Amino acid sequence: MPMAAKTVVPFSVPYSLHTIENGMRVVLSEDHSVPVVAVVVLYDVGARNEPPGRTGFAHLFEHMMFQGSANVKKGEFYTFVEDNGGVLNGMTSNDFTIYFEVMPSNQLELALWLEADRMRSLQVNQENLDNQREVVKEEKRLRVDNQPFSYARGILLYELAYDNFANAHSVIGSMEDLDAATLEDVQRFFRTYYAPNNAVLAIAGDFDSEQALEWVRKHFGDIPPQEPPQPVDVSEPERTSEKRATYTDKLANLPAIAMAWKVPPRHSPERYALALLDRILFSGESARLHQRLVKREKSALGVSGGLEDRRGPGLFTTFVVFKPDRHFQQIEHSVTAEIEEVQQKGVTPRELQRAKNQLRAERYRGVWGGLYGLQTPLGRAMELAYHTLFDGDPALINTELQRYLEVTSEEVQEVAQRFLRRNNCTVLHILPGATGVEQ
Amino acid sequence: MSRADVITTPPPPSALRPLVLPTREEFTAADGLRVILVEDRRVPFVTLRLVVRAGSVHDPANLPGLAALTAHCLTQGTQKRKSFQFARAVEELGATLEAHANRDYSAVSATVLAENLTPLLKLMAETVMQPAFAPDEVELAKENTIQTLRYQRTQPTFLARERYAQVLFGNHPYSRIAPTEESVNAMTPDTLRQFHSSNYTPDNSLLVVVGAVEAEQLRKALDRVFAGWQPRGVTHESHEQPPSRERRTVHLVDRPGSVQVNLLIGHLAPRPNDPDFLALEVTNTALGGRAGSRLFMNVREQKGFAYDVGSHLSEHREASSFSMSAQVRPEVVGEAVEEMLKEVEVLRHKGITESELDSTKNYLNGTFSIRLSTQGGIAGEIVAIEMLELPRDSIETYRERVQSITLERIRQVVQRYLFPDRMAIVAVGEAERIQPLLEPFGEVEVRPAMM
Repeated sequence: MPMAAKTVVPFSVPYSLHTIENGMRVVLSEDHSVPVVAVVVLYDVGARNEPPGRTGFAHLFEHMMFQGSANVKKGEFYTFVEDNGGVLNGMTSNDFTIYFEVMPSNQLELALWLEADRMRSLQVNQENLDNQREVVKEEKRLRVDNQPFSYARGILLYELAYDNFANAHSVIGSMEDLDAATLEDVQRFFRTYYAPNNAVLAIAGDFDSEQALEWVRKHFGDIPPQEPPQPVDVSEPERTSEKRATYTDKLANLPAIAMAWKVPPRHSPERYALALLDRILFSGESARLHQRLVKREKSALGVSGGLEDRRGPGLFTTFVVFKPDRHFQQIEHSVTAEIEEVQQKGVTPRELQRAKNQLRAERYRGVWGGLYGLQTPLGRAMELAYHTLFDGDPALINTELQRYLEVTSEEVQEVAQRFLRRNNCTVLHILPGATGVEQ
Repeated sequence: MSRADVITTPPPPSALRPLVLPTREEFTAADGLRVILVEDRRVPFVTLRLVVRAGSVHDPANLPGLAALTAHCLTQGTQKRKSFQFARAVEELGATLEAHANRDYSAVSATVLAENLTPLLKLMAETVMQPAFAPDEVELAKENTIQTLRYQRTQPTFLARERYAQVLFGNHPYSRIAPTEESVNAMTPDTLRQFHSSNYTPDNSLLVVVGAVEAEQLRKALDRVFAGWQPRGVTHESHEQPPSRERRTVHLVDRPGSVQVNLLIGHLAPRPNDPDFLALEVTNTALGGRAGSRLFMNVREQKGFAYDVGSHLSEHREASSFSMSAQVRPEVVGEAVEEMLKEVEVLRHKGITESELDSTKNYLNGTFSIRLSTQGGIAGEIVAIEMLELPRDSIETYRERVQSITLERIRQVVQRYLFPDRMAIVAVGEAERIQPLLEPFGEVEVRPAMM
C-alpha cells in the first residue's frame, strides 16, 4: 500500500516581496506557462472591524468599489476588465476584503491602473449607495433567507459559538444597520481602511517582475498612506460550559445538527494538528464521521465541517443533515463518540498519512472546487497575499507544508482532547419547519 | 506623459504573448479504450476524466435516475474491495475519485498526486470494470436518493430547474432532471448491473488525462489495468424532438414562505455543434453572460432588482436551451420580467453594437485562455469536443472562429433563435403574491412545490 511519499517531485512557488514608498506591500510570482496574469488586492478590513450598529458595512463597501472612481465611471470597472478578456470579483469575510482580476498577461498595466484608481479616488454618491443597498438585500434573500439551513448554519451558529461581537456577527450583517448607513459613513470607511499601507498587492502569472514593479510604483506610488486603523480586539474568553440552542427552520424539511468548538487562531502551533484532525474526521468517504453516520449507522445524508481558521480565534465545526426518523440525541451521541475515540486512542499512522497526502494534493487542487489551487495564477496570488497580510511571511506558501507533514498522532490526539471537549462546545438543533413536511 | 495623464488615461496593452495550446496525444489502450493525453508538468499532479456515453438521456423511460444511481454506486465497493476499503485506497493516494451522471454522459473524475498515478489507474479500472453493486450499498444509496429528492424540493433553484426542463423538453428525456421516488424504488442491484454492463464498455467510453505523466508510461499502465475490458457494440435509441413553442406561457411553482422569486425565462436553442451556435454564444454573452452585460447593468446595477441576473446557453448534445435567470423580491417580479424580455426585444430590433461585438470577442477569447490555465479546464474542453460532437479542431480554431463573427451574423442568429413572445417563464415563489404580477405575460399555470 502506498504510504509515505517515495519520490516527491519538488514544487515551489517563486516569489519576491517589496514594500513601496507609501507602505503598500507587493508580492510578485512569475510563471510563464500560460499568458494569463492574476492581480489581487487584499485589504486589511472585514466584518471584524464593524462595531455594533454598523454590521454588513465591509461587505456593502465591497459593492461600492465597483461603482466608479475618478477616471472609471460606474459600470466601467466591469467593462474595462471584461472587454479586454478578463474576469474579476470581490469577496468579503470576517478577516479581510479581497478584489481580483485575471487578465490576458498583456493587460497587466490596465488592471493595476484600475485598482490604483479606485484606491486613490473612489467616488460614492447617494444614488449608487441606495442601489447597492438593494442589491445586497437581494443577495441576503438569495443566500440566506430563501435557502434551507443557511441562516442556522451560516449565521446563528457563529453568533452562538463566539462571545466577542467582532467574531460573532455575520458578514452580510443586519439590513437595519445597512439602511442607517450614510454617505459620510461610507467615505470615512474608505479613508480609514482603503489606504495603501493597509493593503497587500499580489501579482502572479506571465509578467516581468522588474517591469511590473515599475508599473506598480507608477500607478500606486503617490497614493498617500493613512494613519493605521485601530487594531481590533478579537480575543475570545475561554468557554467553560456547553451551550445549547434550538431553531426551527421554516424552509427545511429535514432535521440537522450543527456543532462548534472554539480553536486557536490561524498561526498558532496547534492549527497544523487541527487541520489533520479535520481531514481524518471529514475529508472524503473514508473519513471517520462519514463512515459512521452515513455508512454504518445510515442515519445521515451528509456530514461536513472541520477547521475554519481565522486570523483570530477560529472554530472547528460539524454539520449533519439527518433522516427524519432519527433523533437528535442519537446523532449527537455518534459525533461525540467518534471524537472521544480520537481523544482516548488517538489516530492510526495509516489515517494520519492519508490525511497528509490529501493535504499535499489540496495544494494543487484547491479546497474550494479547484478555483484557488496553486496550479492557477489566481490561486498563487491569493495564497501569497494571505500569507503576507496575515502571517507577515509569503515564504509560508512553500514552507508551511512541512509543518503539516511533521504532525504526529499524539499531537492530533492532544488537540482533540484540548479543544473538542464538551464544555467548549456549542450545539444547535435545527428542527424542520417547512409546510408540507412528510414525517 | 504628465502625471495627470498617467492617472486619467487607461494604459494600452503591451505586446500579446502567445498562447501555447495543449498538445493532445491520442492512442488506444488495452482492448479498445480511446485515450487522449495532454502532458502538463507545471504541477506534480494529474487530472483524469473517464467519460461514458451513459447519461440520464439514456435512462429507460420508466426508470429516470438509473444512470445517476449506477454512477453513484460505482464507487461504493468493487468485487475486490468493500466501499470503505475502496474509499480509503483512493484517499491514501491523496486522490479524489467520483462518478456522476449528467444529461449526456457519465464521468468518473479523478485527481491524484503524480507520484501515485499508477495505483490510482488501477482503482479507476476496478470501479469501471468490476463494481460490486452490493445489495446493502444499493439499498442505502436508494434510501439516500429518496431523502435527497425530498430535500431538493425545499430548494427554489431545484424547483425552478425542474419545472423549466419539463416545460421546454416535453417528451424528450432532457425533461427529467431528477429521479422519482417510484423509479428509485423500482431499481435493484440487477437493474444497475444490467445498465452498467450494456453501457460501460471501452467503445462507449473515452479517457482524458491531463498532467505530469509520460505517454509511454501511461499507455503501459493502462494496457495492464484495463486488460480484458471488451467492446460490445453499444447502440443508443433516438428520442422524440422536444416540442416547438408557439406562444409565451407562465409556469408558477407555489412555494409558501419564499422571500424571493426564482425566475427562468427562455426556450430551445440550436445544438452546440450547429454552425450558428458560436454566434449565438457571442450574442448571449453580450446580453447576459458577464458582469458588463446588458441584463446585469440594467436589472442589477440600474434597477437594483436582483443580486444575480444573467443569461445562459446550455450545451447538450441533443437539444440546448437559451435561458435568462434572476432571483428578485416578489413586489418587483413583474417589472423584472418586463425588463428581461425587453432586453431581448431590443436585441431583435437593434442587435448589438460594433464595440460590444469587439469587446465580447475579447472576453470570450480571454476567458478561453484562463480556462486553459488549469488541468480541469483543459480536460473539460476535450470532453466537450467528444461528448458534444464538436469539430475535432475546436480548441485550435476557437479564437479564430470567435474573431470571424460579424454583426451581420449576430443579426441573423438573433432573428432566427430569440423570440421573447414564445418564451416559457418559470417562477418559483408565493403564488398568491406573484400570480397577479405575472398574468400580463401569458396564461399562468400554478403547481405546488411539494408533490
